[in-house]
Amino acid sequence: MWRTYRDEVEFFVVYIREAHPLDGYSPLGGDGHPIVEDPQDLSERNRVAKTCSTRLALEPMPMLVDDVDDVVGDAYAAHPDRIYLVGRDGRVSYRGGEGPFLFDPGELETAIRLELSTF
Amino acid sequence: MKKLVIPVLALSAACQSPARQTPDEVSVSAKETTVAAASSKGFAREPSTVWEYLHAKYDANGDDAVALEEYDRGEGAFARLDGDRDGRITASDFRTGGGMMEDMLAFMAQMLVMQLFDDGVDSDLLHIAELEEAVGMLDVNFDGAVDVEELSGRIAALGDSDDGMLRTMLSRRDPYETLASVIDEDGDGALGRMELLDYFIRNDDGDMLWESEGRSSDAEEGERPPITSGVAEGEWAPDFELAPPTGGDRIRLSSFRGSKPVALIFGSYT
Repeated sequence: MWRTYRDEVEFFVVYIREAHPLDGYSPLGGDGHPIVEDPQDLSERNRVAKTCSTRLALEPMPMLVDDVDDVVGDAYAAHPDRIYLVGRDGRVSYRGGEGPFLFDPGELETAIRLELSTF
Repeated sequence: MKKLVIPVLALSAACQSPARQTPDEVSVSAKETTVAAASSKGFAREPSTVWEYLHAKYDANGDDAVALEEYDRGEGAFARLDGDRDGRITASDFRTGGGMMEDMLAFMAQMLVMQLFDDGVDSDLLHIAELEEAVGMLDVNFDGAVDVEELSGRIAALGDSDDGMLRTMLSRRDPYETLASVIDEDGDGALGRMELLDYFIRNDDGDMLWESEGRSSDAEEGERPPITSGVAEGEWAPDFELAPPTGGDRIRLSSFRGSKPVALIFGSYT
């Protein structure tokens, strides 16, 4: 999807608070799931974000990292994961359901096509 | 616990190796103690289990246990990792096998328990009394357990729920089986009253909390501001300025206003 629309839409992966850090309340790790302790400062989170980007082959889609105060993630109620599309006018044109079950890239594509077709 | 329809996080499920801790990273993030010196020799191979990771990072005196003094992320986190509550983090604190599937089942079971036993009065909470009352009502043959027939009515009613997540879950896996796999400890196929109570206690400290919006089992209630339900369609997207992980210029969301739509994909590695 990124490759198809990248010229007309800016895509960003916004890296937010770890959903399941080892030292958190619902840790996951091992058995194929990454082992990550909760980053305590931005440089730690940047390191994890970079690893994630590489390991999950997200590059070259641009990634931005939310600071450890989680201001952006909280403002968008983005945890644990979520998709938004911001229209050209600066308003939210699509808000995805909360992940993991309602995280639906197909809906994003539909929203993008709608956004690009209405001027 | 991720449903595997997600590109970012599904890939994480397929990813075999966890976040690499290079010798440099370990020595930067650990305290400047013998721990750093010992683990900065690097891993012979990457840790593939949680215990391996913790053992390599924190076990300074090599006694195959991580004591509180050896751990630098706080007592709260230490206590959460010390599963058997023996005051030390050891290999026996971690279940082997299961992993993500087990966690997914646990999540689904919790959701089902909430849906099936909550009396709907305060719908965000399941109190232990509600659970007991529900069991009392359901156990029509008085054998001290709820079996699949006794639960069948309520399970059938779940299908009418307008909760999309619940319906998706129901279509993928038999709900009674999910419950039994997590709750039925003696394997008799029924959810015994004691088994249900044990389950309840294992999963919470008095009340099971289930928020219908902003559902999040890792939210530290009381420690962070309340999570809003995000930004509704049509509202202004909150502006922000963030940088890529490798450093470089910060990017401001509003800089695209008037020129391009912006797709924001929020997520994390775990």
